[in-house]
Parts: sequence; C-alpha cells; structure tokens
Amino acid sequence: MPSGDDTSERNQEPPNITPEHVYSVSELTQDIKQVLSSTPRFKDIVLQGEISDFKRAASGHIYFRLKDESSIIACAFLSYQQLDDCDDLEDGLQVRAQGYLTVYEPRGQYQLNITKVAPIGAGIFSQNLNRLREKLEGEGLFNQDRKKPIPRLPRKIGVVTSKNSASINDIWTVVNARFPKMNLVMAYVTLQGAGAPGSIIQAISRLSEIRDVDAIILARGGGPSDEFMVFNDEELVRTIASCTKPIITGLGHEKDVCLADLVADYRASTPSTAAREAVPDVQKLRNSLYSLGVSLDRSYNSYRTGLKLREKDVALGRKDEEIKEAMKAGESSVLKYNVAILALIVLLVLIILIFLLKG
Amino acid sequence: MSDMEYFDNIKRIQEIISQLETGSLSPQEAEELYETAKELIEKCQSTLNGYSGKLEEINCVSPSQ
Repeated sequence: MPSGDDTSERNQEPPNITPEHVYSVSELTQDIKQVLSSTPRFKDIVLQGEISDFKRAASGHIYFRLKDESSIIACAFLSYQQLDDCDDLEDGLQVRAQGYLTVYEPRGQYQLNITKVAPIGAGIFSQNLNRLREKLEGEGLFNQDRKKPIPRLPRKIGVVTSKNSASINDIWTVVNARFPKMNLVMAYVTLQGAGAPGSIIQAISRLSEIRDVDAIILARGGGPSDEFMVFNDEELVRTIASCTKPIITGLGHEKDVCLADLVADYRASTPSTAAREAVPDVQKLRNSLYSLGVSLDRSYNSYRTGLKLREKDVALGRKDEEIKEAMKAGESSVLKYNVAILALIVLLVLIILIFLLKG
Repeated sequence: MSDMEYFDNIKRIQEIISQLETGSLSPQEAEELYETAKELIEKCQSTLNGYSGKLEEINCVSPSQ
C-alpha cells in the first residue's frame, strides 16, 4: 500500500550507489598520505604560526599546533629530529617550523612533521592576551579583596556548561555523593566557537537574576588549549567580575590559567573540584547539628543537676546552722547550770560556816 | 533560610550551650535559652530537609550551534 510518505519510501529503497571502487577508511587515508608525501611542494616547507596546545610526550616527541587568525595545523617534532632540548618552545611563541606534510593515519589528520624550528618572538595571540591581562589587572579585576565568599549552604546552584558534556556527569556525581537533594539550575551554553562568549554571558546574566541561586559554577572538561580561548574573552571576564553571585570556575585545563579563572571568586582545577567547593556535604551538616543537640541536652541536664546539688547544699547548710545554734544554746544551758551549782555550793559552804561559827 | 541565617543560628546555639555550661543563669533564664536553642536546631533541620533536588534547565546555546 503506497504510503505517500517520502521518508518511508527512502527507507525502503536505499540509494543506488554503484561505484567502480569502494574505499575502506584506511585505504583512503593511505592514498591521501601518499598524495601528500609525493607532492614536491609539501616535502620541504616552512610554516610560520603561533604555538598552542604544546605537549612533550614521555618518549621525548613534541606535539603542538601552529595557528593564525583562522586556521590551525597539527605539528609533530619527533625526538630524533630535535638537535637541542627545545626548552624555549611553549604556548604563545611565534615560530618558523621547517618540515614535510604527512598524514597521521589513526586519526586521519594531516600534520607537519618538523625537522627544524626557530622561535621568532611572542605570538600575536599571546601578546594580545598579555595586554588584556595587564589591562584588567590594572583595573583591579583580579584583586583578592573584591572576591565574593562562597556560600557554605547555597539554596540553589547554577551550573553553566555545555549539554551532554562529561563535565555535567562529573558535577552530578559530586552532587549525588555530597547533597543529593541540592537544587540545581543547569544553564546550557555553547563552549566553542564565535558564539561561545555571548552564550556564556547570557547564562551568567540569567542565573544571576534568579533570587535563590546563591552560587554559579562555570565548568568545562579538558581539551586543547585553543578551546579555552573563550574564557579569555574580555566581555566574559567583565561579566564574571560584575556578577552579583559568586562564581566558581572549573575549567579542566591544568596547564594554563584563563582570565576567567583569575577573575572568578574561586578557581577550581576541574568541574568535579568546582562542584565539591560549591556543594556542601549534607551528612556532615546533619552530624554537626545532631552533635549540637546532644551537647545542648548535656549542658542543660548538667545545669539542672548542678542546680539541684546547690539547692541540697543550701538545705544542708541551713541544717548545719540549726545544729550549731542548738549546740550553742546547749552549751550556754550547761554553763548556766554549772554557775547555778557553783552558787549553790558557795551558799551551802557559807551556811555551814555560819553554823560552825555560831556553834 | 539563607546561608547566613543557618550559620548564625548554629552560632547562637553554640553560645547558648556555653552560657548553660557557665551555670550562672537563673533557672528561668536557662529554661528559656534551652527552648530557644531547641527551636533553632529544629529550624536548621527543617532547612536541610527542605531541599527537594529540583532541577531546572535554561537553554543559552548560541543559535549558530
């Protein structure tokens, strides 16, 4: 029965592809590698650009990317090609690299295999970044005294990150372990490309308008350093600085500190550590509250016991006084009795003397 | 309850415990303070129990994505 539905028709009849040859992925990659290797102008070229994402492997090979305003090329400087220790190579350095183009087959990625490299000064990105850093520092945006304290018990936490990113799972794992019922507002943003700064700025602005959001996490998992350039955007840095809520950055890029990290109220090294900083351990809070309750009861009971003891002491003291007074009274009676006896004896002696004298 | 209010309450409870421990209060004062501290503990407990695990979502993804 004809359905009249384009989609179902497409599903029933696969496109008719009858090529002369079907490549496997490896075959095509090898072919491209062959073309690149056999093209004379790619056999010995000099490429100028700024180093980014610099890595030195345990094997001694050096990997980085050379970039300009609009493109990036992967580079490998294998250890046997390195004539010195290359200690001066680093991110942000402008270099001229000589080498040949090839394909790294496992990733199907073309790259420059370097035979010689010469630094020629700080790269334009690096210079611009340093200038911006100095400018913002001069305005006091990175000063410790303007950082807001991170609340110890936030009512809600805002999370700025990209949807379906690994950092979301990292944050949820921490939230579930520390405070499973913590209220969250997830603000999904674009973390790469030209639209990224605006997207993050919008998220921070919207979260800061929610009354009971008490802290904001800005998170991104690891990746090449170029992908972190968004966190050096001047407008974004100024938005973080002027945000009324404390912001914790958890940008998983250990090597470089972004300007967003410098201006944030707290810098954590990863999304997980950012979450640990923002989310309190509810069990610890409950335990501490329970201990306070126990201490309060103990103190009050001890107060009442003390009070009863004091009352008993007072009562005992009164009895003591009465006994003493009674004893004093008794002592005085004995004295009086003794005096009376003595008087009687004296009287008797006198009477006897009178009789004797008369007799 | 805000973060500040919760921890202010905790501080007040600790102060009351210290006051009770000095033993210099009148029985009426001690009883009143004890009841106050009990109420503050309950307030803090209800704050911790008041979280619901609510998850809200805002989409700020750039239109070019």
